[in-house]
Amino acid sequence: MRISSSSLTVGHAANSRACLVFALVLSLPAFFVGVEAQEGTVAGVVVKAGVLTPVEGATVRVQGTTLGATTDAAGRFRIAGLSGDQVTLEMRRLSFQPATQVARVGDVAIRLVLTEAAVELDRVVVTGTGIGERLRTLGNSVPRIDAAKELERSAAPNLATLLQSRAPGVIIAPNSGRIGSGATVWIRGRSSLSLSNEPIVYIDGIRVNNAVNQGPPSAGALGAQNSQVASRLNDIAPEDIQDIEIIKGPAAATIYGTEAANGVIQIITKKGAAGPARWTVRTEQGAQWFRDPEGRITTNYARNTAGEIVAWNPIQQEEDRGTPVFSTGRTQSYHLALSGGREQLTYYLSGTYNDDEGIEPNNFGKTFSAHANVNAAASDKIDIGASLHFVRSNLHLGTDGGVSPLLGMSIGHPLVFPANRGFGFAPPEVPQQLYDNAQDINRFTGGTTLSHRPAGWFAHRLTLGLDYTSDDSRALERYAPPELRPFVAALVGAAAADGRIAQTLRNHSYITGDYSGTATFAITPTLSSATSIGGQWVRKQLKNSGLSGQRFPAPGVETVSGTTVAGTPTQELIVNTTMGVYGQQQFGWNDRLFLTAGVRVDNNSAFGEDLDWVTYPKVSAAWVISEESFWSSFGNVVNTLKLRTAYGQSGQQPNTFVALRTVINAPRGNGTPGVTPGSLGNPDLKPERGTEWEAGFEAGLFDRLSLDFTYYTRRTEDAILTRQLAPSGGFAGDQTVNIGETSNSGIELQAQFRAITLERFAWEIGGNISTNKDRIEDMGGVPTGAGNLRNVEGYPILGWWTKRIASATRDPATHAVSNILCVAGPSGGAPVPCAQALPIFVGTQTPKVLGNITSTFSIGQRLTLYGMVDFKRGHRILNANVANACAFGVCEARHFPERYSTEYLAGIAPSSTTAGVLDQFIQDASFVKLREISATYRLPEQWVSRAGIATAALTVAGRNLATWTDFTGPDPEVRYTGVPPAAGSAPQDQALLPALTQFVVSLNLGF
Amino acid sequence: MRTLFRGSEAAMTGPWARRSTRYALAVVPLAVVMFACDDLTNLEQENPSQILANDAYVPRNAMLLVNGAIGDFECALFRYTTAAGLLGDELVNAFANTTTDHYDRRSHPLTSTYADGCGGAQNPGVYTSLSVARASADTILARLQEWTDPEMAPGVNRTQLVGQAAAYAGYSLILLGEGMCSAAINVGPELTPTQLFGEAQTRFNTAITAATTANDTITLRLARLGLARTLLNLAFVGTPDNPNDPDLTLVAQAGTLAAQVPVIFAVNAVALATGTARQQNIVFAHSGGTGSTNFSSVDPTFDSLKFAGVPDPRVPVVNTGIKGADNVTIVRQQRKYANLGSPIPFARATEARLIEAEAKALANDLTGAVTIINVLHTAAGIPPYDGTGKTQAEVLAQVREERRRELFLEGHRLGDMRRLNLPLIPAVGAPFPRGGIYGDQRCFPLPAVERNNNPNIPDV
Repeated sequence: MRISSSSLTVGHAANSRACLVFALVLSLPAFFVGVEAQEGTVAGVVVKAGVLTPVEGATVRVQGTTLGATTDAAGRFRIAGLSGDQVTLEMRRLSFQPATQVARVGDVAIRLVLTEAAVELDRVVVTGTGIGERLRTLGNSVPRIDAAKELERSAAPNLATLLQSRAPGVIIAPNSGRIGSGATVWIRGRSSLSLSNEPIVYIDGIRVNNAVNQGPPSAGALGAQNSQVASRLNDIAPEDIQDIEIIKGPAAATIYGTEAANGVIQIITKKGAAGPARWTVRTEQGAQWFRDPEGRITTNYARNTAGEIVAWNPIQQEEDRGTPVFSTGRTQSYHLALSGGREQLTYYLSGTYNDDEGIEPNNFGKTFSAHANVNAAASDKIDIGASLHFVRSNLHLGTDGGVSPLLGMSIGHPLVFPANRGFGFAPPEVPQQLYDNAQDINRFTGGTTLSHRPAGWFAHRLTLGLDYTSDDSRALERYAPPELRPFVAALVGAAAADGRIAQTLRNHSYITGDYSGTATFAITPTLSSATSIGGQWVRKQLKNSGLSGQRFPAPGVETVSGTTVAGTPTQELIVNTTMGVYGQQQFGWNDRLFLTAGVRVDNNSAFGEDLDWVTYPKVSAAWVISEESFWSSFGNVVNTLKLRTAYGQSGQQPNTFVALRTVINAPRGNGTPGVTPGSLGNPDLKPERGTEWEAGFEAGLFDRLSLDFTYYTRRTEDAILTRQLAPSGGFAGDQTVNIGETSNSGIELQAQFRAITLERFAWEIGGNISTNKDRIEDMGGVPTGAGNLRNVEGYPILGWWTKRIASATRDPATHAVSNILCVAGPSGGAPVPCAQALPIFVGTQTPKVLGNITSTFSIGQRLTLYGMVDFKRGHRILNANVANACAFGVCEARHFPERYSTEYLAGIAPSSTTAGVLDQFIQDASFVKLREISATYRLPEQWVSRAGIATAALTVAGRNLATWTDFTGPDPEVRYTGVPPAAGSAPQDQALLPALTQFVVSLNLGF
Repeated sequence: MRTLFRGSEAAMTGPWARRSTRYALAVVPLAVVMFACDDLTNLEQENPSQILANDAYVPRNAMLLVNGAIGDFECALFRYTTAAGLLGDELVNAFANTTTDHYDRRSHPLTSTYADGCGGAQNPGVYTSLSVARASADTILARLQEWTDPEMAPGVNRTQLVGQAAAYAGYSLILLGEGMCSAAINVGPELTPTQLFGEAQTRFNTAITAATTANDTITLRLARLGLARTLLNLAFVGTPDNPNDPDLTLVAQAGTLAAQVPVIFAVNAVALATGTARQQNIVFAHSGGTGSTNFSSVDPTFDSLKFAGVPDPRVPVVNTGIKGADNVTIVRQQRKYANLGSPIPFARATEARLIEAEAKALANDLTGAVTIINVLHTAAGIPPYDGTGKTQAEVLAQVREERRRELFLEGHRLGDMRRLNLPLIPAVGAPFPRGGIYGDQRCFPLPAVERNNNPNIPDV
């Protein structure tokens, strides 16, 4: 308990400090308010060409001055302090073509029209070199998600959802449909054989914690099964995000060095714009539910004593009983933001509160987040920006898997489990009332960036930041009341009915220091040079303490100190540091052709002691061919065309400590202190090195169609694997070594087509599609594992391997199968009895093809209708629901064999099950989903202005509305991959809640 | 603040402001670097739950490291005693598990769990646990021989620790030699039991020399008894097909060494009932339960042993009459170890007396052998053995029966069965209760994990 108290105190103290800092920064704008110029003014509205809807966030500047403004949600701007009779206004906005217009000073009803750009070549991308680079200079594809726009039309509840399907090549795999669960994120598939394949994440230049599977730990019993699905990525409120940029793979991420081989997600939060204070209020009310549970949860069957087959539908049974298993959860969200400022100082402040209920009583969450961005111009050469975020959340994650109502339904039947109303192991009220997997998060993310432009040819900036998370996770199994005790006793023993708890206190901090500078020269009028240098330092410090205890003395006691049998406490401190420097040289010719070469040199504390520094090179080329004079004859058709190619490397460091030779504290039985060999370590251990080449183009056609195409191929060398040790060397277990090699390749295509652009009607179609193929080139002699997911040379990473039925004899009358033979093995040969067969490759767990199609209708300047369909194809997931049902004799095939193929029946025969035949349950998980639909109506200004409201928009949005799939489980998309999310854990649907159907109504008001 | 931001352009861009800004830009990063340089550039990894080997293997930790090696041996002994009891004839499996069956059925594949280390109780790991114990002791032994006395922590006698480390390395090698069909040391070539016993002999000689110098009588006796056991094994392993024709010179040397062990002497592997699996007496965990939770049962041949009609208290066994978890085997509970914290003796005076008795019997000093047997009987409270008119073979057989009983579940029986080429019971090919037939393994084969990862041994 001392540990517990101490850790909590530390966490709370840190939180208090974070809050204090946050409050101070929040108060900063107060120093600068009340300053209004009274000279000549221009004002008006910026609208989108065609439908004439307002354009928010457009920059309007007076040519030749530093005066300007940014449009509000109604597209309005106002610039004061002007002199003279007329000015020329310059307008810029991402996704639109720059424009200029002459205006008369004093005109306050100007209408400026912006035309959408098919290709945004001058968009500035955060590439790691600090000051950003224009898209036209890059040899890589860097897709951008306009988070504000996507959020408005999708009502995405969290960041993972916001990322889902919106960028080609980004795979989002939800672990569960429960409130609070996170998702696995892969960019361009998987390349590592043993390490995480998750990208790293930066918020406003600060490296942040995006760990997955961070839920409460198991207390050693059942209650915490599959509860570890919380994700730090979802702490970030989508409302505070302006843009998300996806830097894919080693070719683009070289400057990010070690740790970046899986790609980088750059999150740019909202910032204030010069102008009067603007309030934004957003409220969202909605509901979520399990769509069609009666149809999606498999009906089970059993024979009664009369030999009749009795069907069991647990959902219907419980509804008839008045105790429905699932309910409709309410969601509500409130967001308030204030932004504004002057040229010298802008600010953006916001607060967001979410209150979400899941569909089970032990699954809900409340989150409050506050966000402040302040940017100040200390002089015309110095900018200072501060970005602060604070998140407080309280999640109750519920439980899936082994003790959930879904498992009870998947294996249950009243004739098999009569004491539990048919539910396997225990009725739903046992997990729903007794098991509470809770997580309290206090998270502060803050940083400051100092930008300095000492000369016209040189700019540099320094970013310092901290991401600190205090996490109190508790896996609680409550003291069972009398009516539930028999169920618990029958399930896990009488003692377990007294309950237990496991508590993990995590204090995780990521500290970032980042410097970069860029010198630009015009060597000749046509030849330019940009030289960048920089360095980065990231330290991760993870402190974990674990406490546990069993047997509460009475109901209501739910703390570790209240248990009567204390568990063994655990304590862990992990510190990992990355240091790196880089240099990059870019030459530009006529602002059309760019050649870039760079190198990053890194060291990381997880490297072996005999390895000092690693070097990652890169080279790229980009050519805006459409700006060449010879292109003019094609210009009407292909308005914009940029060709690009890039080659680069980056790495992924080994897991902390595996390079070290260690001993472990191991006292003797009499208490005498002693140590025993721990890990052998590997002094030569180095990072996995990903080498990628990509080529593609960005094109704008007919001023309507934009295309972004990329082909990439990646090879990961020095892939980290564990190799068994000869015990005679004195160390048990494995050694981590760099001996593997993998490859990936694929294409990515993103397209946007403005099909119809009329003044009162527009129709825009978008979409993306990407493919990925991963392959193991070399396992370095490490033997193939024995499970169903195996790494085998020449096959996909952790592909599915199982025995497959080759033939069987079926009795046409009884449908009994006999003479069952299996495919002999990967080498072929005559079929053999399944016990003698070897597993064969049956599919990959990574989707081969994924993408989406969106359609947006803009009607009458006020109504926007939007829809998105997305899909994944070519992968397989273990449908453990059916496998378990068959194991308990209640699956449909056991009772209606006439509905199944001979191979399926042979596969579920007892001899096949014993032999390890799983082929029939490793199912094609391809799907198409109607992911999002929405309707947004912008209320007429004349209506809302009476209430002092500048803009008002009402959105009705739905999510996860329909699924088309051959997968027979509730949802082909959810896949639980175990804890930790190790490469070897099986992606399976075993009693997992599907992605919930959701409808929300949101009202956005601007003042 | 207001002045700075609201003030005139001149104030913000004047020489003073420019200089100040420049200084600030230069000084702030410099100060950060100066104050935090060491910390920033430190790439050492930290984890309080693990200790870097380089930090641990220093002279001041010598005693800690020797105790660690002893702990490794104790963990290995708990597992070896259980596993050898199953492979030999002391225990039978009572748990329906294919892997657990291999121990009793004498049918281990090379990938089976006998290859493991200090894991749980159900499927005890033998090869890795013994290999780690041997290597831990040998490693610290080598370091101790490099270090000097002044480098030791106050009160620590380096020479005494040399003796202890060498003795425990020797005992690990004995168990490898008695239990494994072959083994390797330091990722070297495959060694026969004879070679393993030869290695053990070297360690014990080192231990005897060091313990004598350090005047450490316990280690000296431990090493002498270990060397006696080693020599007894060596006397027989050269003639595996003729156990009645051992190398009598070696047997005599063993007897002489054993005779130097006093009548009151025992060294135990200590255990902790509430400790980790590594610290617990897993012989009890396996066979000490009262019924259906047992993994194993005492073999019926050890049930209700009597001598001259008097129950023999040296083999405390209770027939519970309850079937084990396999729903087949009647559980006979061993009562030698009362709980998970019961120590297991691995070198004690009784063993010394029995080696002495065997040496006397083989030297045809039957009276001397019978005298020793009866000293043990007196201590056990059972009638004396009447050696009148007994042949050498009969007395030898009695000595070995005394070993079977006295050293029950102390990790000797499998070695004796191999050394004396005793028949396998049930016989090879007899049906195994839970399927298959009994195999012919008399020892644990060199596992695949060693063969496939040791470059000096061909892969399987």
